[in-house]
Amino acid sequence: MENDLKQWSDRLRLETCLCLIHAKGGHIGGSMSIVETLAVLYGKQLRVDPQRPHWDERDWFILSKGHSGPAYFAALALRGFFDLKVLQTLNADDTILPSHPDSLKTPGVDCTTGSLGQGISQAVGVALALKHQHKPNRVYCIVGDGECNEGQVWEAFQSMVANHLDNLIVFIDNNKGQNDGATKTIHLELNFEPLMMGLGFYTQVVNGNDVVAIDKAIDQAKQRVNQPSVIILNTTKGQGLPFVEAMASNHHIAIDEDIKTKILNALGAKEPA
Amino acid sequence: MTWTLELKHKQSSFRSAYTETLTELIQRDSRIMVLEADLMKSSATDGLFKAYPEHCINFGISEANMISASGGMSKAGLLPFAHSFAPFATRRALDQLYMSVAYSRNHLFLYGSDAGIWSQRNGGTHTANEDVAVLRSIPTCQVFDPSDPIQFRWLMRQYREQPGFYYVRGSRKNDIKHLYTEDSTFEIGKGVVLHQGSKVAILACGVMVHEALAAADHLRSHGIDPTIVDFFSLKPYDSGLCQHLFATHDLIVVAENASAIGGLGSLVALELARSNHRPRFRHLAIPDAFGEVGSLEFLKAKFKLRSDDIVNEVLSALLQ
Repeated sequence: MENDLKQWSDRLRLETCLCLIHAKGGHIGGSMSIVETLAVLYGKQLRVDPQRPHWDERDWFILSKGHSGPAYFAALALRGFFDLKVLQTLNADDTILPSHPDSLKTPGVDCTTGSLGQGISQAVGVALALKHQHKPNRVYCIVGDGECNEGQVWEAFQSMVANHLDNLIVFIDNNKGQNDGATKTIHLELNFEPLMMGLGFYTQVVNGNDVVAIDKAIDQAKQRVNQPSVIILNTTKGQGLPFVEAMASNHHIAIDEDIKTKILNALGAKEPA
Repeated sequence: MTWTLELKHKQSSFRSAYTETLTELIQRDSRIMVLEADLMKSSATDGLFKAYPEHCINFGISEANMISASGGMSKAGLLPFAHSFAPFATRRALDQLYMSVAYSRNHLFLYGSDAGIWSQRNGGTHTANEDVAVLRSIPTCQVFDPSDPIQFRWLMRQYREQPGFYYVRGSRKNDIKHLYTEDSTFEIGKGVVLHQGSKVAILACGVMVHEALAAADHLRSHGIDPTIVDFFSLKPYDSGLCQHLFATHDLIVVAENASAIGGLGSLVALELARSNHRPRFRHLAIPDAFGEVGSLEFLKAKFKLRSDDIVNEVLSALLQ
């Protein structure tokens, strides 16, 4: 399974990059930092059926940091929700893959996100609904550390604890960067572990580059009763692409021939046909 | 649409209609959810929280979170009702209403209480005059300013029958005279012609329907018998009725408890611009100004929303 998940994440990173290369750029930094987490979710943990995206018994996934859509779309394609070739239509006219996830356009996207802070609240709503319906389905949600600038995220975190939402597992992608630069230079770098513990979350901190650690943390979180779980992912913006990690600004980049070659070299991949 | 005028003197508050109708709907439909942001005692839904806790969520003072969460609930198959004072239900959570509800095609019955001058003693900070204009401009959002608790109740039942995104503004705890009998039904997008008169037509919504009816009584003593329309459905709205009124009347008067920008007056004026008929047009609304603190009567007088103001507007227009 360890090898399977590693292979899943390697393939996901490649397909995400090919998607961004084809679009000649996009939100690469935050897409790369969630590749391993998405690989564990779509490669193993999520109970979903690509043939029935609205399956009543599915687990829900909400990408609150919606700008990392390219990695999400690549995960959905690899899981079989649509053909990998569709990834080449990112942001194109009449595409089913808009820059930010849209539940009405893309098979497998449960909730529309992009305006930061709202995905985690929608996840709260879904988790409350599943409780109301006495359903065992789980909800998974990824928020960004930069996204945590938004006050709404903390409103949603309070709701999770107040309502004992043990069916909602939230990941914080702590990649320490945001649009305008390093989080600590823009606003405030938060020490999430004591903050989340103080709020009342079952709190785990893992290496967000380690599929096995992420997988174990999810298994642990699923055991909790009456308490919501957070998994803080120590990640790097641009993760897996050293030259992107080293860029001063890698939130959203243009991809020219030179960068395309560097990405493919970093992944040991060849020019796509 | 089968409505009849209530001839007996009956009155009740919007909040009692809200809680009574929610009780009825919860008993019939497991999908109904009641959402509050620390104003359940103000809307009087606190009794529901005790009686039906599994149907009620109090989000604390977090309107943005409440609205986005309502979107998630709708996506998972529930029918949420959310309440706050009109400014916090709309201004405070506008982007959430846009993306988590409207853009996502989710269902929500949003009750914005104490809209316009109904804010009364809570004053300007708690006043929403612009809510109609702002919410009308969001695709899929249907906007209503019902005139009495019966119409308000009908809208709540209609939401269950035909789910969508409903923004319903109105009063909260004041007793409102019933205009319609309890079995009255209405139609979304259709105005209610309460009285067919001639020459002058008064189009009003919400509290201003009551002022229009009082103005009509007064105008009859001047030999003027105005047509009175309850234009509760502000989006979608009754374009056909507007055009018919333009063709059959000499003076159109619009009265609304909302900003003069972007509400009932604006939509009627736009319809008039499209018409081949040219009746004169007068508009009573809250000017481009902030709300004030005070009694309902003080605020009506300040913003010229009394029946006497309608009478004066009609008489001065006819004299010109």
